[in-house]
Amino acid sequence: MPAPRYPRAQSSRRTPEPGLRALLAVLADHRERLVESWLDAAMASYPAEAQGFFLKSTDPFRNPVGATIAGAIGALADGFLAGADPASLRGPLDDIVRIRAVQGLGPAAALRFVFELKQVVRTVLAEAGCSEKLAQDGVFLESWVDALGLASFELYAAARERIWEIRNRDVTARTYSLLKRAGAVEEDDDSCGRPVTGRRPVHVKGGREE
Amino acid sequence: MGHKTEEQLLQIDYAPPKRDWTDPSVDFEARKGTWSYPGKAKNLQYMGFPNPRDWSPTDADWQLPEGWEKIIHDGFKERLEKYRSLKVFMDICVRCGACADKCHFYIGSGDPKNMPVLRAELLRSIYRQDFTTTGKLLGALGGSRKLTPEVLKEWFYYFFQCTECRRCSVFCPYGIDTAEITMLARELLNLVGLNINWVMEPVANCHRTGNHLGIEPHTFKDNIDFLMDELADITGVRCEPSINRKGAEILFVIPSADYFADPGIYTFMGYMLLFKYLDLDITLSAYASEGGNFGLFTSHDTIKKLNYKVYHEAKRLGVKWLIGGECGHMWRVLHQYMNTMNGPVDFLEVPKSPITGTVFDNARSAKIIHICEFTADLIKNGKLKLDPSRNDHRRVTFHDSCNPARAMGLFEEPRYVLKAACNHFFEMPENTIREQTFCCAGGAGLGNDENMEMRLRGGLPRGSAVRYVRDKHGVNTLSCVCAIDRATLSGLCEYWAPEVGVSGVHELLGNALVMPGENERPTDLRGTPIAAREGADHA
Repeated sequence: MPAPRYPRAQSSRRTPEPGLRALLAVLADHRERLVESWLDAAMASYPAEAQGFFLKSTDPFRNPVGATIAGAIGALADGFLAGADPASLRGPLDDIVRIRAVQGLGPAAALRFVFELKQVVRTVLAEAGCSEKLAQDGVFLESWVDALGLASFELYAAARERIWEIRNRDVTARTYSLLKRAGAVEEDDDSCGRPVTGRRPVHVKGGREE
Repeated sequence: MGHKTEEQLLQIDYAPPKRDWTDPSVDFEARKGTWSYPGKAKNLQYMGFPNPRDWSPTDADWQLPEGWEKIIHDGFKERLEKYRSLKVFMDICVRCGACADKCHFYIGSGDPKNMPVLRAELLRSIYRQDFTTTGKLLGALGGSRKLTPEVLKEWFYYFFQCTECRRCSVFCPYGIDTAEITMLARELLNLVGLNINWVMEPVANCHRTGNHLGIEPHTFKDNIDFLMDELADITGVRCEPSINRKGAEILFVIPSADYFADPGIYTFMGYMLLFKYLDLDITLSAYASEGGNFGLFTSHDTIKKLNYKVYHEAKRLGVKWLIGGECGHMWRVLHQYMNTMNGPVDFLEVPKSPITGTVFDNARSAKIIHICEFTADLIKNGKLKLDPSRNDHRRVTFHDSCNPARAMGLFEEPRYVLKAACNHFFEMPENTIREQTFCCAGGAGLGNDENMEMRLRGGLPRGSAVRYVRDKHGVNTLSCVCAIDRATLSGLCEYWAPEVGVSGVHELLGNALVMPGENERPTDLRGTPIAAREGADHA
């Protein structure tokens, strides 16, 4: 089965400084180690029994948590190595965050994996004997991770809000014809213009707009 | 504590602490969104269930009845003697792990106690302690545990976190039906007043009025009239379904969500168009107004009681046989329990289609056929004029609802109907459909909104497959034959595969069915413009 595919990350328009290029080149030489360590860090928030399962199967239907997170971490790592603008990586970031937002982890544990990239990079550079590069060009790492972290906050909050929207819509849908007969709902005028989407947007009169 | 270097200080272990599975503690306060509200006292009282009271799982004291340990022990003993299957399921598991990664809740959460084997072990550990010599002698070493209030709380948490979908049992080499273990565990919990309101309220309502929503006959009729007005506006065809009509040939039993909830009402419109088209001698009943049977999620006695109402009504009306609508667990009750509970049904005839003459021998015992069997037979015999282009704005996939799929093997008929009614049909990946289908994560009474986080967690495997066909084939419609699916998959898709809507099979049939004397039909049954007529492309 194919793993989720993401568009190739675009490098930011500004060409990285020579020092930074060298730093990213060293890390790119150790991409596999970087991805593996980052994935291990992300998986550490799950119970030990589950980590083996999540890491074992790459079939996105048998193991959607593991396959999605592995694919998305790979895409984020490639974006980092390409010096891409973190804003261009919302797709893979959202795929991870959306899963972790419903796994009872809480916001800190759910998003910790973003910030763990710092430690992963330090470790990979130390293993490659290039720790000094970080001292020279660590600002890029710091600000890149910060930007990705801020984007993850937005996605996490959006996912949590979506859960509440779905709960609201569930309640309306359950007694839809009763509400409609009582004249208590108004159809969204736009809904007829769309062929088929999710549930019909409905406004319950006197209530907050959905 | 010794001095740590900077490097050592940076090595923080974020992994959750390892837990011994025998530790039953559950922090309900911290896990809101993953459990269901308990059964209200009024509903327990109505059904004559023990220990009615208002309580919350976050309470320290769950107000268990006096002598609860003996009640559970005696209840367990009684069921081990009554159901040989339970005894076998308790003894036979070799913990091979084949089921471990097959549960949608485990796949989505990674919580080890969502592995079917470990979920069953929560009950088995008490069985060993109370009913086996080795268990008594070896204690914890032999996997036994003592029954404590914490164990009951853990049972409540995890046995109301199983949708009884039976996917795990497909993979068990011994054929252990973990859904049955959940059912029996819930029976035991019911003995001490531990149950959930999303099950108890439908049960009490169904017992009182004949349907989960507690709809009384006049409202039942009013609502159907209202839907028929809407249908006439859309199609120009006036359907006037009969209700409680004595002497009709067929009684039609459907889930109450089909005549009340969005999007089930469009499936109901499809049924009504079909019956009008055929001029079928069929009646609805305001008393047998529920196909679903939440007794399945409560106790065997309750299944029997609620199932009997349907057959009692069939007898009262003097019909010859029954058609059942697009309902899920109704079919598990009918195919696996009904015959020994309330059968044999000797006052009805073997279903025979009055249109095609086909005799449905497969329903010789329960005398009820699935509407997809009925419709597929009509299509096969060329009895329906269909214009599938009227569904061209829909790119459709089919979700095998757990019970019709795994409990009655209904795989082909809905697909046959869909392929006749729609031009664009695409299957989801093989290991997510048919007998391997993934649950909507809202069955067995868990489809309430307070349990939403758990539902979405468990809905991830189904959601991933829907997203895959959405991205690959532009699928925008997830079709299914279950009312709970229609309700819960809508939310699931909103989260995991946005822009995919949910519909019943007969809604799409109703769109395609060319009715004599109909309007131009510029829209489908939902009022959405039909793309073919508009000359527009699909979504």
